[in-house]
Amino acid sequence: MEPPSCELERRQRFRSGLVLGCVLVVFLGLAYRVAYVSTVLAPDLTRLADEQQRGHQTIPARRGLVFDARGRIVAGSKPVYSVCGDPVIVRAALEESGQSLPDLARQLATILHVDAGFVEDRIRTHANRRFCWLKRHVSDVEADAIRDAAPAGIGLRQEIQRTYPMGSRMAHVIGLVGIDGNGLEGIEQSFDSHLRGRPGRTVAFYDARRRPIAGVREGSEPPIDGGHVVLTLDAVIQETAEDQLVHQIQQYNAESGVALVMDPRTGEILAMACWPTYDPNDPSTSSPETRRNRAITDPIEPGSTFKPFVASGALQFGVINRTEIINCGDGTMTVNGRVLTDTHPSGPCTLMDIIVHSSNIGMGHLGLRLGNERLVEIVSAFGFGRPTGIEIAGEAAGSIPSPATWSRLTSTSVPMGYEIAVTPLQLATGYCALVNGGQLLKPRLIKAVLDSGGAVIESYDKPVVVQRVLPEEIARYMQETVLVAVVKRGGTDGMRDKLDMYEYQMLGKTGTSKLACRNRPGYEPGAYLSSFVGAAPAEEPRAVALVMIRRPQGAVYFGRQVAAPAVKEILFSTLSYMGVPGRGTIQAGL
Amino acid sequence: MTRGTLDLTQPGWVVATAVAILCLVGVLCIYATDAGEEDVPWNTIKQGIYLAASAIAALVVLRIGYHNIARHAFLIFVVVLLMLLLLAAAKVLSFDFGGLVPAKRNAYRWILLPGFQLQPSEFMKIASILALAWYLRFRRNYRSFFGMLLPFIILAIPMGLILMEPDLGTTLLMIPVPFVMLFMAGAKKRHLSVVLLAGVVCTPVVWAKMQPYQRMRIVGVFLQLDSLRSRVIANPEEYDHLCTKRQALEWEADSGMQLVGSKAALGSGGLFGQGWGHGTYVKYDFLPDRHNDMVFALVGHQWGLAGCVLVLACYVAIVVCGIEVAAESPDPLGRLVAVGVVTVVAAQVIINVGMTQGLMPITGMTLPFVSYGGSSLLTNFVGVALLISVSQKRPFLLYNKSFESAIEDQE
Repeated sequence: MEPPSCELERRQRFRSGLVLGCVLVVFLGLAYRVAYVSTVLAPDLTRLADEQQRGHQTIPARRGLVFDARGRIVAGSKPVYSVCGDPVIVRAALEESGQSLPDLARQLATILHVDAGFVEDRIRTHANRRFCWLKRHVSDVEADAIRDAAPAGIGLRQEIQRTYPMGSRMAHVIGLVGIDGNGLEGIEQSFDSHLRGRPGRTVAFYDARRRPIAGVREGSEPPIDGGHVVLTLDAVIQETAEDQLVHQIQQYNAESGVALVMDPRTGEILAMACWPTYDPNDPSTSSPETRRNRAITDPIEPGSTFKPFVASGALQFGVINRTEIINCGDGTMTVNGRVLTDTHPSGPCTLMDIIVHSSNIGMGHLGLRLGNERLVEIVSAFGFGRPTGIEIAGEAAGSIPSPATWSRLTSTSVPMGYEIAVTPLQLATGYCALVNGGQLLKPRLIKAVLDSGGAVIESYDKPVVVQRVLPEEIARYMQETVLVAVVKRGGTDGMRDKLDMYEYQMLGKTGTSKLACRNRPGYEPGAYLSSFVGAAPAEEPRAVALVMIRRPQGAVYFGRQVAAPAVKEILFSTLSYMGVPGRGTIQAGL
Repeated sequence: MTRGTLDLTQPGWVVATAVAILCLVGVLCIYATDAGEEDVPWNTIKQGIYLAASAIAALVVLRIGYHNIARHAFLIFVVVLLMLLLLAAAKVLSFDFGGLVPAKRNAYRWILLPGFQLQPSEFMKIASILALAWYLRFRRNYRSFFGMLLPFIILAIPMGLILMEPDLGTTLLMIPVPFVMLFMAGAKKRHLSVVLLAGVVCTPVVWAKMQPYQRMRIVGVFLQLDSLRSRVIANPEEYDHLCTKRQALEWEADSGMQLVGSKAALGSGGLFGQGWGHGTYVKYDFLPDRHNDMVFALVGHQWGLAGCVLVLACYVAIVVCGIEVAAESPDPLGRLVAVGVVTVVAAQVIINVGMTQGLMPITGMTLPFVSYGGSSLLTNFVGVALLISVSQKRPFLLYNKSFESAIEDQE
């Protein structure tokens, strides 16, 4: 039955009111929510949104250059592109286009000359990240190809690549950088903070699809390029040293070797070469073995090259004078209960004869006369047993046996250059003191530190005197007389001729030390370290050169034969290059 | 006696004014976003053309009158249904009919005609209202349970087709329409309760049938709670029915991005906003669909709480006037049409504003009259024109009947 019409109308109005009421309540709720969001929630939301939208992009700073002493670039920096991807965008784009990941990987692999599986793995393993590298430091051709293909989510990022224009030259001194431009070894490591500079950044806004919005640059900072470093090394001298070293090592089929050239008046290192070596442009192919800077990291028992230090000390302490004669016997003599042998019988010797003939017996006597305490004093004075403080890391201190552990044998071993470990650099530095009038100088690799604009921040042009180790008169005697005699009188006639340089009179000392066994006490038969430390011109040496060849193979292994010719060549080239007047020049009146 | 086409009546004028304000706000927002991106404000120009076309359509509707249109309600319904069938066919066959039905992100929602795109689901809103009103104008059709069930069944077909496109937002939007229309028509509360209950019971089935990304949108709303998010991340196994740990971790950049972005845009407007054309959200494309589905966030960003309240007030005016028109209409058909239009507009506003505030899942839902978009604009204009047309049929009142009984007594 139909209700009366007024009843219907009443119901109608009630229902209208109810619907209206409900809608109004909901709208009131919405209005309240707007107020809540724009007052209470606003600060947090703004921060959260800002994090989503703001992005930083680093602008790499140019890593500072490394120059040699004459301003040649030995480590440079060039801008290079790397290919990176945003795996999230890559996946989304693939979904949209229907392309499969292996397809894209193949496409990229063809462009980048890498393995397709590698590209696929990179994207898969970083699937939820917003960034991954696909290939670092690509060629311009590869970068252009990526730009042309422009696959979604794949992009280029500019980086700075370290280049070493001279390849492996000075590699052990300069060191190398990691893929991110961080210094790992050598100067690159020890001057990393100076070379590195400070990367700048651009602050960019990103839209909803994480594409950067152009033109927004609030809070951006330009990069500060790294400063430069000038080495004391000279690429030309270095080249000679490296060439001579490699030549000798190859000729004698040796295991490894070191060559050093120093300026005895300043302590500057002019060349520092090691073999085996590596190319820092392609560090991935090198082993730690080849990267080791043996001139500072590998202490060795120097053998006879050590004798002049003890001899000069003996003169200084007055345990022997220049004319006193010591009987060195017929090649074999028991000294302090130990049988010492000389290669050639020396007979009665002055101090000079002991050095010239490199008599172990004579040195044994000197050692006994000096006593342990004074031996340690002499050896320490020349800087052995502690790092020289050179500007690159990894330097070994070497070792002097502590008096507490000295055995009966030690007092005769140390004067012959055994039971003591020194680095080639320490040895060359010690020779500098012998030939410069008796001052021990700090060996140095850095000539100057420049800012990124090339202005000098700090210049190291003054020698750093560690201490006086010998009275000048004794040093002069060693330099002008004793060590010259080694070259003039030592060895056989044939050997002497080989060491004759007409232009400059060379001085120096040979060494042929036995190599200690690796795993047991005693010395390895037939394993030698052949060395020669020389300087020229004898009147006032301008260069000290050291060459050490480890494990020359075959019958010829004496330092005089294996190392000394290389030293002669190095010194001759170096002095000519430096323009040091030779005898011929002086005679010709030029 | 009848009114002229432009005699909108009092509530009609209020509605028209509110619509005009909303359209103006919309054009201003669209122009502001255009300025940041392009030299020529193409979107603004297009929206202007849509507005003009919609206004003409509205005048045509007023001229014809709702009754003459509703007469063909079933025909209109079938035509729009055929369009939806075309979309559904395209979706099922994954075939774009030679570019007629372009797929966008694997959704088939548009029919591409020369010069413009049609979104049939928008037209379905009006077609459903008319068809329901035409059917429910007879009392016997809704007083019995099965008679009342028919509208739901009729509506279930287009809703199913729209869901297939897929367009979850429009589908959900159409749910309240039959309920409110039946309720206003006078259906028995008991019957409505039964249907409502049945719907609630079906919810888990619908949930299970939804696409994972659709579910994630709903879950994303709840993940706004930091506490829930951290709990999901801590014990993903316990919450695997909700979402995976990765989805929770990526919420900010993924399902939560628009929620956070729209709230931030809204919130950074403060009380009075950053001003027209100012503010980062206007200048840069941080928020996808900012001139479209997310336009309310831009209103808040530029004009703050004040602007939002003004916009909401305009909708309240439309709703109040619409209900008043419905209540005053002597014609059951007109009453139902008016209620239907009010319901559709209010539901759109509630869903759209709700999602902008992070209260609702993000669905492709426009804000009536404000958002960019031709089909939406045309539909809502036609809807409002129908509403005004209903109001024009109300009896004339020449004076206030202050002493009704006394005057009648005198006569």
